[in-house]
Amino acid sequence: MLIQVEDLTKTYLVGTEEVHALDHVSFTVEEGEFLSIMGASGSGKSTLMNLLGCLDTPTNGRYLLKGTDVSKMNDEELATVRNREIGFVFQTFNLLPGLTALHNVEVPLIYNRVPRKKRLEMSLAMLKAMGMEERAHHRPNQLSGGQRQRVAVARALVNSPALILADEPTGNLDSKTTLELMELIRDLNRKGNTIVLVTHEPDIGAMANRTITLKDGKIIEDVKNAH
Amino acid sequence: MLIENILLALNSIISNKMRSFLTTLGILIGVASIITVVALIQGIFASIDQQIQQLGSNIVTIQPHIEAQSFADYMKNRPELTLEDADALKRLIPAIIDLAPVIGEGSQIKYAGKTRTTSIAGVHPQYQEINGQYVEEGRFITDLDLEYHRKVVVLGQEIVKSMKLGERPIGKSILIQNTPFKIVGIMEKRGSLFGRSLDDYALIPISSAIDLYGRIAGHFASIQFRVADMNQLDKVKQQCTTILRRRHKIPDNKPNDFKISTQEDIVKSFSKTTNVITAIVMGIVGISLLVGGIGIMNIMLVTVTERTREIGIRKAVGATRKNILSQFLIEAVTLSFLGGAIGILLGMGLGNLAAHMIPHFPPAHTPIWAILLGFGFSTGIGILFGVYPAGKAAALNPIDALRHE
Ligand SMILES: Nc1ncnc2c1ncn2[C@@H]1O[C@H](COP(=O)(O)OP(=O)(O)OP(=O)(O)O)[C@@H](O)[C@H]1O
Ligand SMILES: [Mg+2]
Repeated sequence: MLIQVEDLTKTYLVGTEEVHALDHVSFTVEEGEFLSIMGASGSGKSTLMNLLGCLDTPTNGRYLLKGTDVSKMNDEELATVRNREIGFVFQTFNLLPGLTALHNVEVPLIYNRVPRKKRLEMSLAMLKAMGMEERAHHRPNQLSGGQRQRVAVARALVNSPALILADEPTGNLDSKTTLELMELIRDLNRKGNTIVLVTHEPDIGAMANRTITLKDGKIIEDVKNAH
Repeated sequence: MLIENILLALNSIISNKMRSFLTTLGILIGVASIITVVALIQGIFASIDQQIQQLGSNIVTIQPHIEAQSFADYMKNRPELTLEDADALKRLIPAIIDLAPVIGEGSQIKYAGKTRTTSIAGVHPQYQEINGQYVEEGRFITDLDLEYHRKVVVLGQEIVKSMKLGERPIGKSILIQNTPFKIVGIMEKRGSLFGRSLDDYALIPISSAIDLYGRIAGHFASIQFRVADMNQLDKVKQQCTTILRRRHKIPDNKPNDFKISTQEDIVKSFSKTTNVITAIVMGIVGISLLVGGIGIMNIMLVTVTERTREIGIRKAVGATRKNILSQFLIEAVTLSFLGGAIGILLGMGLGNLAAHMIPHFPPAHTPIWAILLGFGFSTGIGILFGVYPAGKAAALNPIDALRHE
């Protein structure tokens, strides 16, 4: 079992009103699964992904990653998990604007203490796999949305994490690039990576072998998809 | 990992040229403004100091003095020092050297139809050694001038200039109290203090001065001498007091009718003035520190949002708090030192330039403490405002840092 979530709850306090972004959510994910998460806007998908990515802390409940309770980890252990176990693809890319594509991809390798020469080789190879080697020395603002997303995916994959979390990675892409990116993700899954993907679009959600649907912070459906 | 962090910081500096430039500029302006202000003011201080030194050392001045209730009271009991007093002191106290009585009068002098009021002093040949002020052109007053009551005069440079005595004043005659005096020498330049020229004076032999103003020079007279051994100063002062009280027949219950002042006292009265100036200077330095500090703070704080997002991204892909802190610390230190170093050079340059451009301004002088203060303060602010927000952002959940706006 790679992911085990028990009664995971995230409550925001807006003024005096409590917003239950995530309301006692429990589920597990096995290694090698390809899980899609769907639901209306505001149903808590991003909140869940941020918790799974160790980018946020829950108000209540437990999150075990490879059997270890994430809430018991200190800053350095969390950093290591984010660095080596998880590759996170954001809906809004979140690339560093001052760095070129190559150097953006390189960042996780720096914190993984990979020697400089090796880092650059690995980053370039990763960009190549994304079909981005010609744009390696461009900054994010010199790239199209699809190209930026591919750089972001390259960065998420460069440390070969077991778990890939993608929050609407195709949200800003046209249908052709969407299909390309989905092909890439399925390919990663076939190679053994576990994938959790948030999407609005049913046909993309259906590419996963399992779909969880959220509504108002609760799981209302958890189904296996036949292929 | 340290080298990695240094490279990371340097890389961040280079890839954000505008931000790095502005940060450096803020620190540069902070340091430069502090150094410029201090350099100029220290220049003024140094020149005051030098002039105080020029007044001479180990000199004792005795002047007639009483605590008078009113002017009428003063005129009635008007104290005097006589040439005989001076002779008695010289004869009775062996520690005294270069004793010279001075008669000082404010008098009109005339030359070629021009009139000017200046201070005329009747002096001894020893005046030069006592005051540490020497003749620059021609000669000084000699023993023979004194003996023969010669009508000769040595002028301060301000008089030569304002009376339009021309290129070669020596040999010309000026009128003092309508008596012609021949110019035999010009004193070296002393400059000005608090806007007043120190070269507005004329020296004549004391014997001629007595002829001119009468035997008793009244309250303008003073006696100056040097003490061979500074350790004897207090003893000599005591001896002078005893001798003068006896000669002036002052009863034991009455105060002295003279005042003995030493160079030290003059320096003390000067330092009272300089203390006021120091306070003003500190105020100005404080303001420039504030201005520089606010500039640096502003630039650092303007980038906080952008940098908080950066911190969020870095943490999301695996940076620890330590990684973030050391990156920002190294960045801030590098930029602060760069800005500080350029700021010091620029500040010194500006100070010297300003001192050059303002007429009669003393040369700028940059003390080490100003460099340390300017540098320390600016880099301190730079590092504080570079690292403190970073530290706060690094403590956030990555998602909160990413959402920062
Ligand atoms: N920082 C926050 N403070 C307060 N409320 C928040 C915060 N973040 C999210 N929420 C609330 O939590 C709920 C879930 O938000 P979340 O971003 O998880 O939705 P989502 O399913 O990802 O929506 P979308 O499909 O539009 O991205 C929303 O009602 C939202 O308003
Ligand atoms: Mg979302």
